[in-house]
Amino acid sequence: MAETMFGVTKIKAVGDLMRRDENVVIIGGANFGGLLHSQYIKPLFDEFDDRILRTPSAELGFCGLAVGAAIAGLYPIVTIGTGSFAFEAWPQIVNEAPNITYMSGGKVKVPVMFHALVGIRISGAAQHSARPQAMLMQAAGLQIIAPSRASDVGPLLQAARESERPTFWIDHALLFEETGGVEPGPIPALGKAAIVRRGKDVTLVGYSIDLVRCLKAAAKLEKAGIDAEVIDLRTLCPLDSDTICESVGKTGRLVIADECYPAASVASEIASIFTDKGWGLLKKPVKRLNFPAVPVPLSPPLELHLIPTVDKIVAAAKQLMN
Amino acid sequence: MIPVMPKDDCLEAFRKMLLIRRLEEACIDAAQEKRVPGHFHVYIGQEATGVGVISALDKGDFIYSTHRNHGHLIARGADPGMTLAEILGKSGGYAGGKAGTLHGCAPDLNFPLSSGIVASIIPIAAGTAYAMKQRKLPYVSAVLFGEGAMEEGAAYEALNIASLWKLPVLFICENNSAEVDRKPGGGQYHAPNNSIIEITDLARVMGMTTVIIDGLDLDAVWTGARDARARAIRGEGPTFIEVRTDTWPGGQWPTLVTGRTDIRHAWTNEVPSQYAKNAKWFTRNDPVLSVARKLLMLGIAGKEELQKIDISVSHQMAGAVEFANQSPYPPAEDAYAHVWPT
Repeated sequence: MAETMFGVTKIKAVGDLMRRDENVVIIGGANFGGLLHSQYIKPLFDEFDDRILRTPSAELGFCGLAVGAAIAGLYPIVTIGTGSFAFEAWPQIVNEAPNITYMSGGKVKVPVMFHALVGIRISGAAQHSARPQAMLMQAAGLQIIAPSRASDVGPLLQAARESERPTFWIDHALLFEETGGVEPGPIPALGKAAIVRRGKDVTLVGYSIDLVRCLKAAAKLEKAGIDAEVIDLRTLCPLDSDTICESVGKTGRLVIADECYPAASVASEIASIFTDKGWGLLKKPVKRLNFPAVPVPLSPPLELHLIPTVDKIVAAAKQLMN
Repeated sequence: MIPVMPKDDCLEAFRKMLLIRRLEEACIDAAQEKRVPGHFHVYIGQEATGVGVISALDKGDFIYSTHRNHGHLIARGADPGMTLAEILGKSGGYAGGKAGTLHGCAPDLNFPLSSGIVASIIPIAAGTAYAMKQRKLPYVSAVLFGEGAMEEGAAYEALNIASLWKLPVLFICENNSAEVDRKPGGGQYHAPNNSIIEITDLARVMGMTTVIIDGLDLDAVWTGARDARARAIRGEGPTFIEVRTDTWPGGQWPTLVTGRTDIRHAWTNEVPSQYAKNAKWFTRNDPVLSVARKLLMLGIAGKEELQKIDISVSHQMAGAVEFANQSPYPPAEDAYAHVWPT
């Protein structure tokens, strides 16, 4: 098993898909979001020069362009850039792409993938740090993929392509630097969470960068004698409530780490499972770790104070064990 | 009208224009009986535009529209019964009642979508043109929208991208406010809510070929679209066509203020007394009557032939109304189908 940086795996997976499927194109000028990562991305862009549309700074225009290209036989991967820029294209992402199949009685497919590098990226300040995923969960008909482990990237990309669903793919700005084992795995069913660490005392749920933090917290908790089970959601829509319920049925305790704001968030959606389907499975209240409802400040100490850090996850789990 | 269109094409185009008129009359009948869910927008007064443009396209070309799509669907050859059933929210409609009037489509005819957000459809149409170019297919994408769409930013972004990459797309702006008065601080003639004086100015400075056509002139619309298509196929990029019509006096919530169209008015020039205040509509602005008069004048058709077409169209529409009325509403479980592609 090779140790590979998440971002490198990501770019390789896109290249593999483009080599297999001539209808895959890249639209957008954002190079999958990271100026820091351009050295990894350049070979891909050189290889597929004629299948990359380097657009003006016109998110609304080029996201719409991708929708129309998808209708007519291409599979566009749209590099929006930072998650905050998705708001510039909101009408196409939430009001066009996810509605079209339904509005045509199932006759028109819109196989498009919007890609953004979201999240609190350290000193992105208020307008380059958005986590649009919870808002996107309100767009019925939009699939949301948010992997945390490099080994899932290729298989999820292939699964998304095969699904032909309009998809929003969330990568976290800090995740690109993470390293992890990569071994070719089976293509996961979209909407199936992964139990990435088995445990019996407390369930930690995360996705994208927050899953990495959950895993680090689990290692710390182990030293404190607490055996945490860690679940990687992988997709936010569909959301795998069965796997979460199964785990909480065993542990009775739940911590959710989610960089979204608290109201109507990924965390609140998961917590709501236990008011209904998961009723009676909890021994303790749910601990939700969100980014508090304030705009994202620039200054590093302020920002760090607000994100769901490893230490906060550890503290929350310990509190549940007392 | 210079008789460029072949005779059979002229008569077929006229038949479609009349069919559109009869469909809209049926819509207004249904609305007056409160059987049309939601609000809707009729195409009366603009028939020559949709029919002229779409008659000049190939079957492999794509067509996109907005909230005012009924006429475009019929011009493309959509079944009037299925079109009306969709407008009424019935299961026999093209989308099983899920789209309604705002999102009319006929996917089998390469008419995948109408967006109810006026400019949102423009980048989508440009995207389909990009797919045609990228896949090296000899087809174009055509999008029909109102002048109001030019007030939204999506229009600018899409025009810019289409012009940069010379995408094979026809932008058809149906300006149905061509005679709206200047409003203080609210823009000028031809573009009442735009700071540009002519709608075509924006596309022109972007380097596009632009054309302004009279929306009563079926032949000029057809010719303009045909030439624009040829330029697009040759790799010369998009054309921006403004077609000017006057707003139909029926207003936002239509009643048949101009009456049920009687094709005999084409040669009697009679204005029914109850509609005297819309006399200009009969004498000049009605594209159906206007084209009928030109067909007579040019000797392409006689009165009897036009009446025969009217009888045939009215008969077809009666069957369509019957189909739509008989079509059941979709069962409740249909609400959950087609969220995802299968």
